[in-house]
Amino acid sequence: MYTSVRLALKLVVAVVLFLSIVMPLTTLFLWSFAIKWYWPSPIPQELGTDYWLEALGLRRGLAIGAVSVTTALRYSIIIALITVIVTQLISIPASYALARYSVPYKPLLLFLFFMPQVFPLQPVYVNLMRLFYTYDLVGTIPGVVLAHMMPAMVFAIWINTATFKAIPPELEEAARASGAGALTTLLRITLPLAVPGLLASTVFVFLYSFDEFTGTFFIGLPYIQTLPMLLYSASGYNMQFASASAIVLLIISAAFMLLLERFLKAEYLGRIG
Amino acid sequence: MSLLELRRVTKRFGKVVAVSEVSLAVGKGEILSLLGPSGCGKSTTLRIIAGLTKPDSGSVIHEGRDITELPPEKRNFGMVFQNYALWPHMTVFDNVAFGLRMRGWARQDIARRVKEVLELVKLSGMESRYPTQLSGGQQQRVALARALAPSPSVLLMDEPLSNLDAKLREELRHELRSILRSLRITTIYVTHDQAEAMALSDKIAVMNAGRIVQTGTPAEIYREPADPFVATFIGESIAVPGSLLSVNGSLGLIRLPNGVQLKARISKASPPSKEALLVLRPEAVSLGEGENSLKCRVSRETYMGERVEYRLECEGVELKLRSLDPVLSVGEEARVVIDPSRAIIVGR
Repeated sequence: MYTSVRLALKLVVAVVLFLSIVMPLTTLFLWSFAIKWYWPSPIPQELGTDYWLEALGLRRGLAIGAVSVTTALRYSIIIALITVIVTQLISIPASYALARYSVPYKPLLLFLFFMPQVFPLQPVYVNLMRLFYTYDLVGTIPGVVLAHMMPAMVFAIWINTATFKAIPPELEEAARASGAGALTTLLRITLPLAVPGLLASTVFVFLYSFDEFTGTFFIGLPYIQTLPMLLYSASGYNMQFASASAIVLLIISAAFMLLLERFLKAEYLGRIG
Repeated sequence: MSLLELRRVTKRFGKVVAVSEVSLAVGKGEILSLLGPSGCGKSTTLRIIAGLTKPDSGSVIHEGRDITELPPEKRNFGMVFQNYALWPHMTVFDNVAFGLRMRGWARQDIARRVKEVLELVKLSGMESRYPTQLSGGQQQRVALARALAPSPSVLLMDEPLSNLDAKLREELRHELRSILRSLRITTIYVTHDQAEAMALSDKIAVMNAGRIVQTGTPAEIYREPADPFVATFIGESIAVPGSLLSVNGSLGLIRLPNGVQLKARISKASPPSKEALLVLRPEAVSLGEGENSLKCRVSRETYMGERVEYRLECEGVELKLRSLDPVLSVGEEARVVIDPSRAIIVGR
């Protein structure tokens, strides 16, 4: 009796997982290889790699226009990398200060910092666009990076502060008492212990920037077209092309998620306690 | 001349005065304990000595030199923390070797010294383990080895045994004592455990509310308390306020609120005053009749194994009586004698 209930439960979970994860992915996969797929046929009428070759920029033609997945991918990666580097350069020292020292008006600062996240981001970006026009930042990589940094900084400071807070100050004090100066203590004790958390925030920020749409749409157009924007515009008229770019996006994101999972292993974090 | 000295050191955290005008001196090779209840400022005092906390005023003198402004890494002190504070990403070897590397020791010298101190703390062969693979007692041994490795001028210990269970604590206390004695290392030891302070130290500084209230040998602190706080904090003391009627040599006659008059020894560290406190520890109380005795009723009996402890109601005063065997029962009446050489009078 008990085992049959468990079996039924397992089956339900399996079906739900299949419907919610495997099915959409299968459809995506099929679409990217479909030359012709007209309703109501459950499978494509004609299969082929034409759209993949075009999406990857290996062949030019049909109605896709000048932008290939590879160009958009390059933009996406460059923007995500710059966003990560600049965000972490600012957020790591800021987080350390927030974790270790009593910063005046800390609650107010954090509140102001979270403010943009309270509203839907769209009006925030519209206003940002007006502002950025005056500084000639619209349609430039620095402009898009700044737009991505605004929400990314929230994740980064959040995770990094928690990371530094999890490192007991006595570990730093023990180093000082053992003869290490402040900088040596930072390099030999604090940062090595913070690596898992800092890597986690790095991956989060990268993924955020990599998948970001709204900010890029308002600030980046018309010159900066990242992969998510390509995907969005293509999904209206060209499902095959959208599917291929979605798969590229998915593979890179999944690779990063795996990396993240590796470094967030409880064993490593547990050593900090 | 003392090796380390604090001169009128004061530290405030906001409005709270953590350490107030603390002065103390430690001689070379001496083991000094800072003893007091939690929040009395003993840890802050130690952190000021280590250089981890800056005092608001006063100075720290080491070998005649003012080191108040010197950063901790330049003081050549070793420190052991209550929660061990071992670096989890380093092996035992690397933890112990850290201070030596910071001092620029040669590789083979480091290897030799680490081996030596690990032998001293009985952890040979554990070099390649990580701290999480060790028990609490072993972790604290590593922390001790790490602090001792660079042969510091002063060893600072902040409640090093508090996180261990009672049995291990006692075992490590004896070991620590023999290690510190054999190295003749100047040590400042912070603890709230009086037995630990008594067993380990040459000198004890009792702290209360940010001040040092008495400094002396363990025997002095126990036998000649300077004030009511020390008298009641040390030992299992029961204190009864009374008024001092007369003084005869080292003995005084004190009248308790219930009118009973008792003879007791006057603490040398506390000048006699009319307003006095009679301090009665279990060893001052025994069954018997005659002079200096009280009529009591047994209110509670606690069997402790090696002894029996009785709570007695004695003419309005509550006393503790220890006995090796169960001799009384609850509700029974008995007379107890107060040993005038063991009962202590301190000024209020």
